[in-house]
Amino acid sequence: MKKWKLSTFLQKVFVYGMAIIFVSPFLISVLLSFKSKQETAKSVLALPEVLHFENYVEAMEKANIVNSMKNSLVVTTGSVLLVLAVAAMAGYGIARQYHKKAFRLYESVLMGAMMIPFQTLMIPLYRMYKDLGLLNTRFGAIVLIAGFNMPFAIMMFIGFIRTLPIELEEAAYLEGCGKAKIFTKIVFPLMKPITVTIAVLDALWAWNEFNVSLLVLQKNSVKTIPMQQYVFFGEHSSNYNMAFAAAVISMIPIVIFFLLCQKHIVEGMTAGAVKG
Amino acid sequence: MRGNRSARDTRTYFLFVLPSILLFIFAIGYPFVSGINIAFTDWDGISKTYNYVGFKNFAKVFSDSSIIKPIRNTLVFAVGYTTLNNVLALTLAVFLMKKMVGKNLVKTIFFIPMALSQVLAAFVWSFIDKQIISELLGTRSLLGNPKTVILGIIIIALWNQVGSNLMIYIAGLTNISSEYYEAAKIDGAGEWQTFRYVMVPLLGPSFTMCIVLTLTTALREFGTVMAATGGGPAKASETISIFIYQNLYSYQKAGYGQAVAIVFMVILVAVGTGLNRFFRNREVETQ
Repeated sequence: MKKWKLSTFLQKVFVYGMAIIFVSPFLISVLLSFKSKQETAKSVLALPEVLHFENYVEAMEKANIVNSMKNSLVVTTGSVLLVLAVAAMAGYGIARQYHKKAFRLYESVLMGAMMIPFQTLMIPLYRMYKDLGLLNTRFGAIVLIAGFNMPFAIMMFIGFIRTLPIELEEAAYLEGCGKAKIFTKIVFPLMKPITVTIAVLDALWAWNEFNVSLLVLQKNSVKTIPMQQYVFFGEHSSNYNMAFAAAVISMIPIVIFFLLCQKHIVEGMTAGAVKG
Repeated sequence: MRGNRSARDTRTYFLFVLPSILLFIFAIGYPFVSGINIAFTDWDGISKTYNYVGFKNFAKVFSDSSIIKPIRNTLVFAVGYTTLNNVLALTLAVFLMKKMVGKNLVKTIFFIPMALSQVLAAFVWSFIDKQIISELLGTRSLLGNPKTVILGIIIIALWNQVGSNLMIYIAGLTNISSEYYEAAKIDGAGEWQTFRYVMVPLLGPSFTMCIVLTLTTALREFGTVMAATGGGPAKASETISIFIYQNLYSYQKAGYGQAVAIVFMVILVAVGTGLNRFFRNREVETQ
């Protein structure tokens, strides 16, 4: 029998207590989404007498949820595919020419670019997009979100490809395989684990993206979920129950995605921290 | 022959890199350069034309009294958030090294708010702040009071984002060889001593990443503040990021806003590189 220790007990109390605080906003959201306005006014945390599904019906009508989900899906899918295609190729090219100064210099430029705050690019991007007619287009948002996530993705690909033995590619080359074929038939399949990790992280970031969307996606027809809610929550702060129903609807898909891909998210987030 | 093949290879590999260069120029390179141009003009953000005003915008950055409050707010938020985030993440990571019922569920609970956008996090917590905490504790709303609004935003951001540092610290602690823990135990080290003399020194790379990244992202924080308060009440939570945004959209001083943005970036890069070097050097010393 292990000795009971006060410090261990207090540590557990702290961890479980924090966990309760961290989970409570989710519970509160679900609770509020099922209550009527009157019930909320009487007592915020009391359980509702019946489940008020009409909040959800109203939210679906007023919050433009179907349309903004569609926009979020298009923007997320588009930017993830663009990042993966461009970054995988670039990562391969740089990793296989790592002895060349020019390629390493480009890598440093990309790393430096990660330090540029969005605010430094915001005003010129606004001007450029106005001139090009790309404001309020999902295409415009896709390209920018992909562009900003690209340096990180290239770094990850370079790190991974440099651990792959080059012999396989050499052999294929001697048998007359072109570089493009070597990349698509040999290298890309080997990169699957890192590709999945990058795709998951980029999808999460793109789905929740705020900066680019606020700049580019201002019209209702092109708003993604965060943008839709940014306006909606401001306008409907008097009808909290309906707003919470809208919040819960938008939480469900991304929370499920997060739970399914948690392993990859942890892997991607901790890459580099352990290796140092 | 060998030389020819190598040169041809380089050309082929360059073609692989080319699409990324084009995307880079479009999204970052060109806007960056044209931003330098805008900073020397009096562009209002709307008109088609503008005049060059030399270094006037940059001179104004250093003499403008309305920029002092945003700088102060940014520093208070960034330093407060970085400190609390790392203290909380490290504490939870260390405690979670123990055997515990439902440990994986508890970890997931700490990670899951990361799935939500800053807008959602700000909405849910604004409600909790206004309707629940003040009702339960009889206190005033944190976000509604200019004196406490930044603390309120820090709490929202902590809930939303502490998971990533927690992941990194857990990975760092798990990565420390169990031999070290055993050696400390044999030497009769208590929990605090194990933490101080085994965990802290060997967590070097995790510290570098968590502190530098958290601070540099906190300094440029935009979404959470925008969604939670929009910079209010009475500009009490207006950060540099919001100040720049307002110069484009509300104040019609895009040229000046861009000059602020460039000075801001220079400081950010200097702080980031400086801190990175500082922590990396300490890593070497301690290992």
